[in-house]
Amino acid sequence: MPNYAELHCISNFTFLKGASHPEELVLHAKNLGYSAIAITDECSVAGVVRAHSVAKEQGIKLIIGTEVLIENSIQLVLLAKNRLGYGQICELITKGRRSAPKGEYRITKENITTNLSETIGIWIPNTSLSISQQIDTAIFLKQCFANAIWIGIERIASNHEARRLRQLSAISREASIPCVATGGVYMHSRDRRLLQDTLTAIRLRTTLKQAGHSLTPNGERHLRPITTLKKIYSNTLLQETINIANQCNFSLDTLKYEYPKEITPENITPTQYLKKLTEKGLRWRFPNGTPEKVLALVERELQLIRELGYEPYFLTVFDITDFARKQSILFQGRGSAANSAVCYALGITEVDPSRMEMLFERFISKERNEPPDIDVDFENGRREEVIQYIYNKYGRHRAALAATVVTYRPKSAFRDVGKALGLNLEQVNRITKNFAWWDKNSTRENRLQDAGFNTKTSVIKRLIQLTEDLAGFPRHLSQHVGGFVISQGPLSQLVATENAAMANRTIIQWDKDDLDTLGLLKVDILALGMLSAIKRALQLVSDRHQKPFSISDIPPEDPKVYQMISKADTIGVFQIESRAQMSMLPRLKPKCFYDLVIEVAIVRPGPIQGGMVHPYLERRQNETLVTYPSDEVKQVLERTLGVPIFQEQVMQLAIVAAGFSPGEADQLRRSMAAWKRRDGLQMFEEKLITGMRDRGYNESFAKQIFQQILGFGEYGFPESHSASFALLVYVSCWLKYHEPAAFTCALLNSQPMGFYAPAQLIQDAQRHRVQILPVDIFKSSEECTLENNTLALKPMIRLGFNRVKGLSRKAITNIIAHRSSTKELELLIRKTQLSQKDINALSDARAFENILGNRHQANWWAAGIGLAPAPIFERSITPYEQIPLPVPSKGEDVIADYRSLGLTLGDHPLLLIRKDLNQRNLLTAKQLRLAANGSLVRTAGIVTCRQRPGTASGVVFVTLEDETGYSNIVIWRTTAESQRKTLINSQLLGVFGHIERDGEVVNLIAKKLIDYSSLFSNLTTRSRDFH
Amino acid sequence: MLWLCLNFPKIAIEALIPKWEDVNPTAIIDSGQPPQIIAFNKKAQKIGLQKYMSLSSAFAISSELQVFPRSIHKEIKHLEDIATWALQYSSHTSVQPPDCVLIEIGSSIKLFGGLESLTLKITKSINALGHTTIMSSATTPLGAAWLARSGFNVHLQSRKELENCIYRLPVSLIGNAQQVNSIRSFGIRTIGEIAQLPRKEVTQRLGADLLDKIDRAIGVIPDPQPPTPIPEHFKKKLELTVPTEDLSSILFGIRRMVIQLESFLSLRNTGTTHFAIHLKDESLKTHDIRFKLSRPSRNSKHLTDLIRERLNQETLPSRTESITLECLNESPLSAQNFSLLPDQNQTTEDGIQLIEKLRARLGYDNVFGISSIPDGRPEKAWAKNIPGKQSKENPSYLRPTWLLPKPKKLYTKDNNPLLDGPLIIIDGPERIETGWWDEQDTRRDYFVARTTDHALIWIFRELPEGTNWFLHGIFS
Amino acid sequence: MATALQDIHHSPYIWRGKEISRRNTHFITSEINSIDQAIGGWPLGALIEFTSKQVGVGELSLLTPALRKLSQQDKWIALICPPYIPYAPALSTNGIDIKKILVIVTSNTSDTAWAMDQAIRSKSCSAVVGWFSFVTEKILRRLQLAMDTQETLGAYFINTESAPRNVPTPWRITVDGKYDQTIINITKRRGGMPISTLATTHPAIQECCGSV
Repeated sequence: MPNYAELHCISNFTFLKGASHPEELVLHAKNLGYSAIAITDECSVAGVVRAHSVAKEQGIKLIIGTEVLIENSIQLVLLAKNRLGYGQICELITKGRRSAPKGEYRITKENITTNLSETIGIWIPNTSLSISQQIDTAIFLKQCFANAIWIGIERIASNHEARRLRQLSAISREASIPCVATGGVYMHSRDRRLLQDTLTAIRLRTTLKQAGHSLTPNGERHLRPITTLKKIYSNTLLQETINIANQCNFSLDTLKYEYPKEITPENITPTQYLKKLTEKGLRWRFPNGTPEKVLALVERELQLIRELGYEPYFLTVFDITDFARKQSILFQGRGSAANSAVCYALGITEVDPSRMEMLFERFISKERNEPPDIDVDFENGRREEVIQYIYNKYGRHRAALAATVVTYRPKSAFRDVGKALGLNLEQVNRITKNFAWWDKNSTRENRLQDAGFNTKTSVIKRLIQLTEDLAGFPRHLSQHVGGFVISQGPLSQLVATENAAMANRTIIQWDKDDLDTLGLLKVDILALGMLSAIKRALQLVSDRHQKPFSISDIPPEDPKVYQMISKADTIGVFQIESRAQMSMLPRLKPKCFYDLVIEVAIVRPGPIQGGMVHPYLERRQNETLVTYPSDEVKQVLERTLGVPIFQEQVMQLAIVAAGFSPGEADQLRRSMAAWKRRDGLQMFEEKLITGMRDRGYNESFAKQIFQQILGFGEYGFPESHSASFALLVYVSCWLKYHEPAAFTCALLNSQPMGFYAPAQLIQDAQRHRVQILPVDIFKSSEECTLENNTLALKPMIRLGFNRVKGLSRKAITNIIAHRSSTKELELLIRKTQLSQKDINALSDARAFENILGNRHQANWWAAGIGLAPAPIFERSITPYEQIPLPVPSKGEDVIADYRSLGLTLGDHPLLLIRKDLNQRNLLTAKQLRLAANGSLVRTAGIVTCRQRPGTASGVVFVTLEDETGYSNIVIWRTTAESQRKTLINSQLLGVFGHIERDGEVVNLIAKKLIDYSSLFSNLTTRSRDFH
Repeated sequence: MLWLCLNFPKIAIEALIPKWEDVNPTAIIDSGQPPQIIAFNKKAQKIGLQKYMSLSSAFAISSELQVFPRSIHKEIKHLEDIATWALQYSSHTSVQPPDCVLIEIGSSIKLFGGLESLTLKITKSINALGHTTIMSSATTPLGAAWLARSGFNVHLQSRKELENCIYRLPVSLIGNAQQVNSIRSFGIRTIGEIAQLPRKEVTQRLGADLLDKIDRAIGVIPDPQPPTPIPEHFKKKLELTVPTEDLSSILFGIRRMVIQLESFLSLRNTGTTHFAIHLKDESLKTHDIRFKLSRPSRNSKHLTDLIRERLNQETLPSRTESITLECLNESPLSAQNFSLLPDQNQTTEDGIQLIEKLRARLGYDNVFGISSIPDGRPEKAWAKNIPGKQSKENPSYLRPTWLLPKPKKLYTKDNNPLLDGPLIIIDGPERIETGWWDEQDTRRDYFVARTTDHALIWIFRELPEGTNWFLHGIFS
Repeated sequence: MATALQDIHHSPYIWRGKEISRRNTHFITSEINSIDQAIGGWPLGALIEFTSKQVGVGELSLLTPALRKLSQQDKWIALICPPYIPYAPALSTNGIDIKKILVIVTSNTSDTAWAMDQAIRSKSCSAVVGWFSFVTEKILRRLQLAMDTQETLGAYFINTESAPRNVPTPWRITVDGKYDQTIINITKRRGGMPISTLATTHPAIQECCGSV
């Protein structure tokens, strides 16, 4: 009795056509009792790894293949017989994809005449062609594939099916090509018919109503029960599927990664080389002798690396960072393996193992059989140099970026499904506009109601259902931010590659998770803006002290720096500058580096959702609260006072407390983020809770851990990662405290980055008594610079030309090139041949103020300069004539400053209207900080930041700024929604509410919002008699 | 000379949205990136829209907001229409772009019973035309325009008064954006402040036209205005933003044009005996209705009545997109006695006549064309249609020549369908599962079957594997 | 015959029949071999009666190839009082330009007759096809009179049992089904003897079971 193997089946990685995830297809095939299933996405292998892991888990044979349309006429399915055949398929896909624009492919008849010897072809004839054309095709394919070609017989209850079947058997006889049953599957179950139709409409950019016969006529293209297949196919046709499946014996598990050879010099093994480099590095790191602790750590790590054969990986990363170091590109390694002692010795990371209390043996796990993970952040301006280095060293055929699978988000899914269902543009806009920055999936239905849609109508019900189905579907492949795959041989033998949107970039068809699954090496080459800022700051400090100053010169554990951090005085620093972080700092009061590691990890959606924050804070204040249900748990949680904060801790808990194997724990973490979120977790929940109960833990503890795992799935930080980030936090804080001018200057030159705009950075610096000097045509450089104040011995920041809006780059270079030759403004301008636009920009930025007086006078002069005849001699320049123009008021200057520079060095705008504000009983931020808990107060300030964190159930956080500092406003959901108009429109927002204090944290809980923006207009009023 | 200036602060929205459509919060955006709100209606104002707000903030305030891009072309067209219409008050009117119409009223003010009565009259008619206006008058055209644009309803008869007022107006009135920005960058805010600066230097920096404009506004130099020509022919088209089949909406639009027609005819001191309305639908097919009067008329109410009566009898296009009113002849007015003689259809094509004749006896709906619609559901794959209308193709599937208007349920025996005896299945199944998106998910297996009488029929069984069989077509 | 066939291809679709008739009847090819060979296609300007015992034996299909050709003219194809919906997808699959089709629904014989008469006389129809459930000699005489002056394809269908025995209709054809076949008997024709048992494959069979 023949069984069945589905040999022609596309997943949703055939974008906007396949209507099931690869995992669903494999699982369903298994449940139906198929003996094998092939995933044959159109010119793609992007979905096969996902299919592979499920197939392995479920114990069903997976065949890797692809479907291609050759010269728009021949539809051919190719299946890999073995490793060689798989390579041939990848090669063909690569060829097809690389010779067409992104998202398309072009495969010619020529392409399939050679190099497919180890594949099986199944031809799906196009019956709209004439019989003679089809016979020609049959003969052609027979020539290409000899005995490895079949005709695929699809019985899908289509019109004219009987006639078509007779045709096909005639062709089969004529060309002596055997037939085989194939499903031409688009979806795992018939239920997906609605989604499949919707995808078609989306693909064709039309509505379902208009799509007409482009839609699949029926739902037969799904995985059908074998009993059904037996009714419609002969035994011979079914048996043939098994025969073909038996010839296909390739598993992705057999892909073996071969590390590039050139990283190791001749005559030395990678093991020896790594050992040698590590020892050399230790001597450099510890000139006074390596501490015992570190030596032991290195010994243990090297042994583990040797056992797992990961030397080439570390050497590859070393090679890249070594290049960066030689080019003085600042970088910092992170990821599970980055904070090993070996990496410290190799200079990949600056996190000093002798300073850290981290458990480094977890950096690679033997059980998990997962490749080590090292991400390297480079300063963002220079990452491209590193990428080019990799391309040059390994060649484009051996190095490529990993893909990122761009998936449908709820919002995009809503939009596309809405359009397909025929909602008009206005309605679709109305829906998506209502997915404003604060919307979460769970509020979708409410949002729709708010938008005036009746969620009880069937259209809207369908909209919701289809959107849910579609969300998470892949849409296209994009390039990963920096994940490089480097191989020994041509990459295309390993995986198909295709063009990325960016010119001259190629990506492989697998993403980071796929690479993980197969245990393939990837190096993340990332860009980090803060590294550029730190690099600049270090350079400024070096210049000032006239000796090199680097991160390793920064003294560790400076108590003054921690004091500053504890006061949440962290504007501009890395990571802990956000509103949420700043409200945590005064409570956590970090005192040492490890506290920063925790701080970085704790203010994340994972720990917040898991409810870890408050218990941790309580225990920090009162250590007696720390108890452990068992010694095993104590071991895992001791360093975080019994509260799981890092991703690894949660996984480890599952292992030690619930008896998960490390593999299972890891699976648990993955399944959290992956496709089967809703149904996949029950199994784990039960296992976890019973496991813990069996080991004597009480159920509430178990449930709490499960909740934490849920939260962690996507949002938790691993400890090693936090440690690397914490180092940059410390470095940036140290710079902010000890070198505020250099730090601010570097930040200004690294814009845009971080949470704060230049105006706020400048104001913060001024509050820290850093003097800021205006743009000056004779003194400014392109960037902001430091000027020495000989009296105070403190450097001052001179604003650079790059802050002046509307000034061309050419003008900047010309000014700097010519200004040594004259001290005369008019001559300088003539020599540099500035355009009127550039002159105006400079005068409006007050760059001439030293020479010409106030902005109005300068602007008047600037407007006339192009018209006056050029003076012949420098001496003959006419003196600047004062014109009876009004003198700018302070308010006017501030407004013009903001317009021209985006910041002001004058008084804070609120100071100028303080009188108006006082009349309205509005307190300053400083007064607010002193207000009693619970007191009713009013304040007003410039809105600098509106945030609606995904985790905070609809609360809006607003930061208001005035001349005394910042105040934190909390607006509950109902208040925010009823006063949405004011909340969104106000520049100068007034808030009435009550104070909520928690130690040094002061929040104003808003009751009423008032738009005071009109007070600003008072700034520009002035008396009429202007001269 | 005395110039009355009509400023239309809402022309951007009024040129696009006829008043009867003005029911939802609506805003007009410019073509900027990102677009800004430049005008909005009352409803939008109520919910808190502000000028120059970004479109996304506007949507954040209300998701109900309707948005249209600005059409300067249409605005000018409207202003020209108004200038023409205003010729009934003065022989000299002129468009002052982008938002004003000037009327020289010095010579006609007495005729209309003084300034107050004249402005009242104009306001009323302007409202009937669906516009909002602000009026100022002054001895110079530009002066009047600047006053009106500044939102003043003032009437200044002396030059001195005018100069005082003008000098206090903001500089934003007098130049393009670039000029205004540079003036402001000198700290100058009012027109008077510019006038005080050294003339030569101002001209150097801001161009000669600026001071020229001030001179014209205060009457130092003359400012001749191009007069609006009296049109030779009346043909007005009104585009609807939302296609409609609502007769009252269409009539509202027509009324607006008839008022213009009346003004046109009275300018020329004529009436019309022959005019036409063309309604264009979405398929750009035009529906012409001609009117013949036995005696010439220009009375807008009378003409509107006639039109309403006639339109009530006509079958209008289902979705009218634009309305055109065209005056086809003019003749001197005589006594006010009218009657309506429907015009004979000029197209004497046999085919059309046949249809008309058949319809006259058999009823409109009983004569029709058929079209093919690409839809997987057999009963949706065809439709009645206007005779002669092109339709889209269906793929060449095997389908019966006759389709039953409604599937007919068949008797069955042992789950086998019967029709005058047992049926023999010749072909199938062809499975059709589609149409779920509009409440008519159709799931059927279709078969070709032969009756004992050797007739071939098209039958289906409902899915999932139901026992109900239906006859749906006959291969005649 | 060969030249005649060529005429079909080259000249307009109308060709002069070889048979001598009372006046010169024009024919249009039926594109059904047996019919074209026997009588030279369908006559124009002469009323044709089709009778069958039941619908579904391919009776309307006898006319469809001719209607396809006629639909290329800028004239209507009037279908008067059809018993069911003339199914547009099927007609267009047969190559008929369906925008030429004018369906006229009537509620009684006299309206049907009147509409046919109007359609024939209007000069704007290339074909006028009606369906009667009952008809009188008088009606048919009048219709034939109208046809005399036109170059129109005029035909009506009626159930065999309802057809009057003696009719002035110059062409009478009965249609029957026999398994895959449509059987045609020409019982009356202008200028010729009756011809019996012409057979053609039912077009639906041709489509679903036709040879590859």
